[in-house]
Amino acid sequence: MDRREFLKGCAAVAAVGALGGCATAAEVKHDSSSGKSGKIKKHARSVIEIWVWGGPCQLETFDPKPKASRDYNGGFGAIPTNVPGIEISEFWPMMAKLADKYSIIRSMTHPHRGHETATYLMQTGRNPGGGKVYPAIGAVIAMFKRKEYKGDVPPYVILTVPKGRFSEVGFLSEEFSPLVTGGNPNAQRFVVDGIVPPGGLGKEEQTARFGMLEELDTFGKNVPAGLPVMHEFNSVGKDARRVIEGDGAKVFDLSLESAETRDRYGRTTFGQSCLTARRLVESGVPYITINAQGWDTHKRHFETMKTKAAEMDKALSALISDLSEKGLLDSTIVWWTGEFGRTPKVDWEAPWNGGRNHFSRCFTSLVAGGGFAGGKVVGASDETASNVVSRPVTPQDMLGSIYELCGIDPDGPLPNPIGLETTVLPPQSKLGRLREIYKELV
Amino acid sequence: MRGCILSVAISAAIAVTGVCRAAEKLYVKSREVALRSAADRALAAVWQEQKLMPVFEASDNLLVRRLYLDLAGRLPSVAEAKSFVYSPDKDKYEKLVDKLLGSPDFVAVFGMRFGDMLRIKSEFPINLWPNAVYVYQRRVENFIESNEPYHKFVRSLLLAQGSNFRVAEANFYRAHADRSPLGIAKNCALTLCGIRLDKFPEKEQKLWANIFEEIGFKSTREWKEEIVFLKRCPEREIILPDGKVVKVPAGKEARRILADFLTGDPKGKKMLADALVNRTWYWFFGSGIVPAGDDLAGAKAVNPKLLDVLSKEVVSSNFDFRKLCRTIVCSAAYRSASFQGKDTARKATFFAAYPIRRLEAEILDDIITDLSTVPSSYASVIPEPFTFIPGSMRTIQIADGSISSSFLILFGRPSRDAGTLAERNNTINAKQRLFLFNSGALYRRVCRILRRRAYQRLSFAGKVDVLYWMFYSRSPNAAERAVIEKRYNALPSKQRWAMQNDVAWILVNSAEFLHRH
Repeated sequence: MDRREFLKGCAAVAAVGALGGCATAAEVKHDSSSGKSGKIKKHARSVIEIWVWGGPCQLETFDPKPKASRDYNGGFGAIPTNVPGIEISEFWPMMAKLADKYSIIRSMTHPHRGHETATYLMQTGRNPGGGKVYPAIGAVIAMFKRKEYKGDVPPYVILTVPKGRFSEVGFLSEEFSPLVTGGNPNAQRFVVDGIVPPGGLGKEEQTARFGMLEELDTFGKNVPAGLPVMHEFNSVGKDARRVIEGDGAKVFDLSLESAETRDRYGRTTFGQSCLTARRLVESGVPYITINAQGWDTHKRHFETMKTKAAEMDKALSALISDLSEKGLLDSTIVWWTGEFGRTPKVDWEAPWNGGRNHFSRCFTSLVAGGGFAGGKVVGASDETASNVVSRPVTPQDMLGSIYELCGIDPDGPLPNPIGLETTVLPPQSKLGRLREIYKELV
Repeated sequence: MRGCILSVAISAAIAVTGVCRAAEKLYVKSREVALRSAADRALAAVWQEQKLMPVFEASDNLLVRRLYLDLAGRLPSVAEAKSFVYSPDKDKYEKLVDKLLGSPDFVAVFGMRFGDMLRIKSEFPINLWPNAVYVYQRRVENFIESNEPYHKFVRSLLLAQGSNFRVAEANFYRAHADRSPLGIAKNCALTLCGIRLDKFPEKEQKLWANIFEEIGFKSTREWKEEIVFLKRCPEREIILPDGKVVKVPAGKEARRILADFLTGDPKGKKMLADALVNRTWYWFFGSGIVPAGDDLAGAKAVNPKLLDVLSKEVVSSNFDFRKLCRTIVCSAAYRSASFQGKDTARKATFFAAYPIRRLEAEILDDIITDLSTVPSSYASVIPEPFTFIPGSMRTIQIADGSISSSFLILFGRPSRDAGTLAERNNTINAKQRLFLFNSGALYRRVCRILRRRAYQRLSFAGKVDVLYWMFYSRSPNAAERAVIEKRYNALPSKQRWAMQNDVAWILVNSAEFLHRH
C-alpha cells in the first residue's frame, strides 16, 4: 500500500467513525432510557468463527442485487427467505429456510484491500503498524474465559489449517495460541495432530511408550532444588498427556456421531469441520475457528461459487439448526465473515473470465445466536453493493459486539505480560456496536 | 595456592555428583573451568564475590554439542561428535571453534540472527517485498562471510540510498512497520545502540526523529521497486545517542553525522560495541550481560566489567565479529556445566552455569530434517511470486521471515515485526509437546531416521548406540541400556523391529534433546 492509499484509508475510517456515531446515537439513548445503559447481559459461552478466507462476494451470499445488470450480478438472482422482506442469493437455498435464526450485516466496511492487512484488522480491531502485534479475538476470548472453561482441549481451536500469523496471540501469553487440528475430519479417522497418535497406535502401546519415556527422560529431574525451565517442561508435558489420554481426544472422534448427523452436515471437509465445531461447543471450548479456504475468486468466480456455496450452504444451515435443536444456539455465537468482499463489477475479460477482485468498501457478514437476534438486516448497500448507504459497521463494531455478548468489556483493560497499557479494542469503537440486534434490546 | 583450590574443587565435585543420579555424571567434568582471558577474569571476579566458586566444566560430549548448535546451527554428526570426544589433542576445543567459525554453517546461523535483528521479511507489516529481501539477506551474509568490520557494515546501512532491488543497504530504511521519521529512529536506536526511544521524553524523541526527516521513498514503474532518496531539509536540531544536541544546516545530511559518531567517534564506537557485545552474548546464552539483550538501560548489567572488557576488545579489534564470537565461546562461562548442584539456578544468573534453553524453532526443524533426511515444507500466506526453495536449503537459511510453516509458528520463530530479541519465543508449552508426542508428519520423519542401509546391518544395541550419539552426542549409560533392553526382550520377536522407532520417538521427546545445555 502506498502512502496516498493509506491516507485515503484513514479518511474513510474517520468518515465511517463519524457516520457510525450518528447512526447509533439513538440506540445509546434508548439504552439509557430503558435502564440498561452499558450493562449488556452475557449470553455467549462459545464462539464459532467461520472464516471465509479470501473474501466471499457480498452479491453471491447475503446481499444479492437481482435488479442490477449482468455486469454486476453475473445473471444470478435472489430467493425469498422464511422472513418476509429478506432475500438472499439463490446459491443458498437451505440457509433461506433459516433466516429467522440469523442476522445479516450488509454494511461492513474498512479501508484495507490486501488480505494480510484486512485480516489483521478483522481479527484484532487494530490498524497494522506501530511495531506491536495485537492478539486475535480468539486468543483474547480464550484468555478472558480461562477461569470458567476447565476442559482439557485448549481454549482456542482452529479447524483444520492454520491462519498463520493472523490467528496469533500477539503479545499475550503463548498458552492462548490456537490448537490447529490438521488432519481431515472427513477422512475415515480424523487424525488431530498431537492428540490422536499416528500409525494406528493402540491405547496400551501408547501407555507403554509413555512409561518408557518417563523412565529414560531423566535429564534435569534430579537437580537439587530444581530448575524452573525443567519444571516447566515437565509440567506442560503432563498437561499434554492429559489431553491425549483423557476424554479430550473423544471430542474429535466423529464416529460417535450417527451417520445421519454426519450426512446432514455434508461429507466434506468443511461440513465435518462444522460438526466437529458443534462437538467442541458441547464440551465448552470458548473459541473455534473454521478456516474455510478457496474463496479468493479472482478467476471464474461463478463456477467456483456453484460448488463452494452449495457445500457451505448445507454445512452452515446444518450447524445453525443443529445448535438450535440442541438448545445451544442461545449460548453460541456463529460468526460468518471474510476479511473483505469482492468487487461488484465482474471482470469478464481473459484471464479473469468472470472474476472478482478484493473489495473492502462494502461487504457482508452474518451472525447468529449467543445473544444476537435472528431475522434482522443491519445496514444497506447501494443498487450494486458498491457502497454502504446506511449504518456502516466497522470491524471494531463487529468485534466489540461479540466481546460484549461474551461478557467481555471491549473498553476495559487488556491484561498482558509485556505491561502495555491498552484496552481490548481501541476507544473509537464505542458507538457503532450492533445493539439493534442484541436480543435483550430488541 | 592453586593446588589447594583444585583439591577443594574435587571434593566438592564428589559431593555434588554424589547426590545426582549416575546420568548426571555424563554432563560434568570433575574439574574447574580454566580462566584464560581478560573476560574470564572479569567473570571470575563476580563469581568470587557471589561465592559461586568452584565452577565446573561441562563434559566434552556437551561441549561439542554446544559448539555445533551455536556456530553451525545443527547437531554434530555421529562421526563429528566422536572425533572430538575421543581426540587426545589438548587444543581440540580451539581448533574446532576455528573450523566452525570458518564454515558456511556459521554464515547461515548468523545470517538468520542478523536477519531477525534487521527485520528481513517481504510482507506485512514490514513489506520489503521478495526481490529486496533476497538482495538484503545476501548483503548480510556477505558481511558475515567476509568478516567485514561491523562498524563499516553499519555505516554502509546508515548512508545507503537508491533502489531496493539494486542497493541492498537501502532496505535498512525500508524495513520498518512504521516508516515515519520517528518510526525509523526508534528502530535505529534499538538495532544499533540497544536504546528504547519509547522510554525517552517526547522532546528527545522528536530530536531523534529529526535525523531521519530527510529519508524519502518513491516508487518506480518496476513492480514493487522503491527508491530511498534524500530530501532537502531546512536547518534542524538533532540528538546523538550520547545526548549531545547538534545543529544541522539546511541541505546537510543529518544521518551522516550519526554515522560519523557511531563509527568514528570513540564514544560512539563504544556505544555501538556495547550493543553488539550484549546482543551477541544474548545469542550465545539466552540472556545478555544486561539481561534484555537489546535494552542497555533496561536493567543493571550482571557483570559490568565483563561488558566493558568485551566491548573494548571489539573496538580495538576493529569490530571483528568473528573474533568476538571466538572470545565468547572460548570463555569460562560458555564452557561451564549446566548442572552444578543446588546453586545451579543462581550460578546461571551470573554465567557460572551454562543456562538451559529450549532449541530454537528453525534449528529444531533443521535437526529433524538432517536426522530423517526428509526436507521440511513451508508456506507463505501470500503466494505471489512463486518462490522455489530447494530441498537442500536449510530452514535457518530462509531469507524471508514471511515464509513459514505451522511448525515454525508453533515453536516461536520470531515474526520479525519489531526486531527485538524478545520476539523469539523459546518457552515450551503443552501444544508443542502434543505435537512432538503425536504429530503424524513428525512421526513419519522419525521412523526414517535409521532407514539408511549402513544402520540396517547393526544389532539392536548398536542401533540404540547410534541413536544416542545422533541425539545426545554420547553413548547410553548402563541404566539407560537396561531400560531399553528390558522392554525389547519383553516384546514378541515379531514386534521387535519397530522398537528402534520407539527409541527414536523417546529421544525426540526428551528434555536432553530439546534443550541446549
